[in-house]
Amino acid sequence: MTVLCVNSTVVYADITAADAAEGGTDYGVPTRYEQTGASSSSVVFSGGDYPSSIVYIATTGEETDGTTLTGAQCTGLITSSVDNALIQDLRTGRITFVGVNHSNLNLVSNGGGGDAYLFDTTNAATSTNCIRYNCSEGCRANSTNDNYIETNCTVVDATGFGVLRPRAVDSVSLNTNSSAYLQVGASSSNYWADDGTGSNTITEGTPTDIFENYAGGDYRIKPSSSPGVAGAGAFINSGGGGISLTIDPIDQTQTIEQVTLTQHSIISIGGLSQAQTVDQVTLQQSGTLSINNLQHIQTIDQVNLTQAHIVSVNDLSQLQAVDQVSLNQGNVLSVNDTDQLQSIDQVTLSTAGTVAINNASQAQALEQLVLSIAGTVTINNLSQSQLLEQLNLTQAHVLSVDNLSQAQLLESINFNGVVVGYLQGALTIVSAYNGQIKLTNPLTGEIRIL
Amino acid sequence: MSKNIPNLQIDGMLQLVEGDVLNICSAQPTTYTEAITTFQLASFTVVGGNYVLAAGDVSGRKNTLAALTGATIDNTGTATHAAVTLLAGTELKLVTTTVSQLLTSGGTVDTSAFSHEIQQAT
Repeated sequence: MTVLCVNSTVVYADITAADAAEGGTDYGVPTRYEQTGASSSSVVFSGGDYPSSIVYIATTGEETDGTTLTGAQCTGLITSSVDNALIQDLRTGRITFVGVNHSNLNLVSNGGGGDAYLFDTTNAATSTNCIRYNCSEGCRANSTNDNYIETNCTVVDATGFGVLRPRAVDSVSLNTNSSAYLQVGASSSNYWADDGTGSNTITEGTPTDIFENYAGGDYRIKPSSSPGVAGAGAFINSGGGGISLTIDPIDQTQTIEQVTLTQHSIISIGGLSQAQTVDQVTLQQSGTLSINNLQHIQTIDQVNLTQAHIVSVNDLSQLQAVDQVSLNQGNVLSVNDTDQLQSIDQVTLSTAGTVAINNASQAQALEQLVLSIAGTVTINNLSQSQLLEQLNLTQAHVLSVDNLSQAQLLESINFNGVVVGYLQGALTIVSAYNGQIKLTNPLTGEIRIL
Repeated sequence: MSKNIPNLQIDGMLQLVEGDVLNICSAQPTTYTEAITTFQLASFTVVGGNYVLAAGDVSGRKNTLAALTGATIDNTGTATHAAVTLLAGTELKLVTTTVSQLLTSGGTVDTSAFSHEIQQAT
């Protein structure tokens, strides 16, 4: 039952006494009155007394909770012409503002059968989160004022109009004798009524379903009510009622991408009968190329094997098996049991290669064979007119020729400067000796020096 | 031969995003702090028993977080998202949407149950 003037720190019996004493003193900032308990007398705040404006507010801990029963209050008439005045967190009686800008915030106002709130027709003002009840009109002006904005306000049980001529936003007016809304500002929106005069219609049939405890004077909006869900009305959900919130489910799908293998391929070609099988085969690492049981004119155009490869050509009957074979390291070229006019056009073995030609019956086995290092050429059991066109062995090679019956075995063999061939029809070894040419017949042992 | 992920493994994926707090938020949080502070309007404590694993409605498996009740609304705002967080490691685990709903400070809020489903691989 006291009012503290914060600016002067003086405590007064009520707001009337505080105004009487402090009015006329300009503190350079708004004069702040904090209400404890109740003031029952009326007060008139004059603009001239408060050039820096006023704040009339509940003391901390006594703010209204939105019910008509709890919180600091001023039950008398509050009249104000103070520019930019603020009344906040109080239970009040009637309030009248004239000719000035002002603000009301968090008020529960008992009209006492009269107009709960009056405002003028031109000035800008706001009322936010305010309840007005037991009134003739809830809030009223003489003509429409779109500059005065009622936001989240509630009017209930008005014997006249509920909301008359302000801009109404997110507000509720119901159970009024005359229209819930009349001549509201053009910018009004989301204002709810039970008589069709609002922008939205309250769907509940009785005020009991709108307020926390209508019969008990608790006019806080239920959050689950139709205006409450839309965020309209004063003190929504402050009654402790639970809002039911719907949470959306999460659905996930998943896929597994296709797996692609790019290394360590094996190419196997079998059982083919065709003019040309493979145009070009390139195996970079550890590949195996196997060609079996083929009958065709040309099997492989070009084969390049760079590391540790095996080329196996078996059981062929063809005009030309391999056009060009290049084996660079540790390779094996095996040509077995072939019956053909020409097996290999050119074979180049660079390192430790092995060429094995067995049981061949052919007109020509090798066009050209080059073994650079430590190669082995094995030619066995051949019956043919010409086996090797040209054989170049540069280092440490082994040439084994057994059981041959043929018109011509070797056209020419070059052992790093030592040539073996036929001279005047006789097998002859030709070598350089002390600057001269040495001819040796390996069969008779005869030596001639040119 | 079809693609398949064993149900036990799908359950493991679902359990990876379980948490111990359900936060009601006014915007989509992308970090733990946004979920528990920046955008939070209300929060619920979640325990293991609130989660139930079962066969998915379409295929695969689903994990349902039960309806929760009576959380105090700490901040006024419009709820648009629900975020599951885990205090240990301060992890943001999962974010989904809600029906847009104004929540006013001082009141309470209840939530519906919602499920997280991971369908079988295709």
